[in-house]
Amino acid sequence: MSDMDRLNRMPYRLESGAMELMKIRSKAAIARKQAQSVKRKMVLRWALPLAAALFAGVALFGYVESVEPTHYELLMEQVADAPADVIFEMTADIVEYAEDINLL
Amino acid sequence: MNADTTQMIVALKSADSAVRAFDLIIERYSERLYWHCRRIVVQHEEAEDVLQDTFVTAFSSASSFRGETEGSLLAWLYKIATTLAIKSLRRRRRHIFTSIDSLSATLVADFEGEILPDADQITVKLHKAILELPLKQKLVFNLRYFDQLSFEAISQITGQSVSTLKTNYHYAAKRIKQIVSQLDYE
Repeated sequence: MSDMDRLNRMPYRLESGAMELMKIRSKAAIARKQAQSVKRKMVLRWALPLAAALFAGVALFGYVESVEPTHYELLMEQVADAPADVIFEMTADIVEYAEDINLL
Repeated sequence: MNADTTQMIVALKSADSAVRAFDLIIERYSERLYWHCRRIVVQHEEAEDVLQDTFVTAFSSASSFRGETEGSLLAWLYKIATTLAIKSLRRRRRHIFTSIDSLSATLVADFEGEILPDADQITVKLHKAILELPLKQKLVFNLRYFDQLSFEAISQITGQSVSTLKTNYHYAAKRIKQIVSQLDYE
């Protein structure tokens, strides 16, 4: 062994086979990282369109609810053109239940 | 640069072939990167953790690697390894305001427990002297003396100018001589 080889030999303790074991562990760590990355991409591939569809559905439901007339509005349309005795009959039924006064 | 190295560099930048490329990188560069880390952190378990983190970090940021030569690949890997090794040393400080250089005594003490039974005594003194150096001098000395990297490559790794590195190397060599002489008298 030359003087330079002697000086360059690391004086640190290292178990036999440790270097090979380190390489195996490093490769396994890379493989795990790759698997995590693939999983994340798959989740994003489905999660984003699903979230978009859900959002669109909620928005559509909200729009439909705002456009369709309520029960009260339908009732008022009927009352607007109805003769007085019919209105009396209709309101008599409604007032039978105290909480329904709020509808008038 | 041979065809294998060229293919390896091309492969590591592509998501489809990066894993295979890193298998080759690990085979080829583990040993020298490990010893570089160990010369900084001293303890085997810590050096092993830093080595593994180096490869995982490099894999995660492979798409940002712009080099095309083996030299640039090595500089990139050494830079990641050096940064992570220093980070590992920082975690051993008692207080966040303590300098890393104050860990020298701890590192020398750790080294005492890690020496090969049949190690050459001159080599042991050399490594003890290196561990007593300030971090900047230690890094440039290790990278130049043991890893035989050019000052230009070391500049890419440490972010320091070539002239600063040469100055630090000169002071490191001088200080090592003084320390080894003192150890001879003990």
